[in-house]
Amino acid sequence: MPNAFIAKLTGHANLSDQDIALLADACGTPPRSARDSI
Amino acid sequence: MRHAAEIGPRFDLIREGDAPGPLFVMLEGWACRYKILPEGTRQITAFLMPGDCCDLYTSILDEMDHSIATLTPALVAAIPRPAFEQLLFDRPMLLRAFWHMQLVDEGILRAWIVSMGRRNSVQRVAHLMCELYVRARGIGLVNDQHFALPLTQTVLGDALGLTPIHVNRVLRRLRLDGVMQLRGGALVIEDISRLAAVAGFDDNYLHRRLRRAA
Repeated sequence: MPNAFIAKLTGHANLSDQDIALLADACGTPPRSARDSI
Repeated sequence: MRHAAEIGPRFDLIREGDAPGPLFVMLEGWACRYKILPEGTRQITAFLMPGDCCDLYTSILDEMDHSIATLTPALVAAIPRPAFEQLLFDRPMLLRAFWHMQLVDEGILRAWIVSMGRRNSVQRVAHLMCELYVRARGIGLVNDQHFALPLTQTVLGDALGLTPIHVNRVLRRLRLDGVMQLRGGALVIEDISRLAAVAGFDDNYLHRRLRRAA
C-alpha cells in the first residue's frame, strides 16, 4: 500500500530523499514503500 | 510509537477534553473531526483521508477542543510529539511541508464555513463531493472518475448540516440529473464539469501548486 501521507507531503514541498526516509521511519513504514508512493 | 496500528471503525483516537496526544497520521482509511453538542447532535468539521494528519500543533494547547474518530477500518501511525518536533527542527523542508498542509486544512475549513453559511443543500453536497474528489485524486485514489467514498448519508448530513433524508433527496437529484451518484460505497462522477458548476467549485483553497508543477 503506498504511503499516502508521504505522497501528500511531497505535494506541499520539495522534500529530499532523506526527508522522505525520516518521515517513513516516523510512521513506521518501510522507506521503500514510501519511495514507491511518489 | 513507531508502528502503525490497525484500528476499527467508529473509534475515538482522541476526545474533546483530552490532553493532546501524539501526531496521528492516517495511512489508510477515513476519520473525522467532530464536536458533540449539548443536546447530543454531532457536527463533523473535517474529513481525514489517507495521508492526512490530525492536528499538527495541538501539543501547545492544554486540551483538545474537539474529538477525532475513525469512520472506517484504518491504519494509523502515531508519531510521538517530541520526535515530531525534532523532525521539524532538523528538517526545514519538512517544516515547510507541514505548514503548507496546515494552511490547506484551514482553507478547507473556510470553504466548509462558506458552504454552511451561503450554499443551498444541492450546492453544499456538490461542493463537498468536488472537494473529496480532488483530494482523493491528489493521493491516487481516483480510478476512472470514481473512488471509494465510505461515508453514510448520516455522516454526510453531520458534515453538511443536513438531515440524512435531505442528503438522500439531494443525492437522488444529482443522480437523476446525470451529474454524479453514490453507488456501492463509491462516488461515481458522471460529469465533473457540471458538478463543479452546480457547486460553484474553485479548487484554489486546496493549493495544489506543487502537484500541478510536477
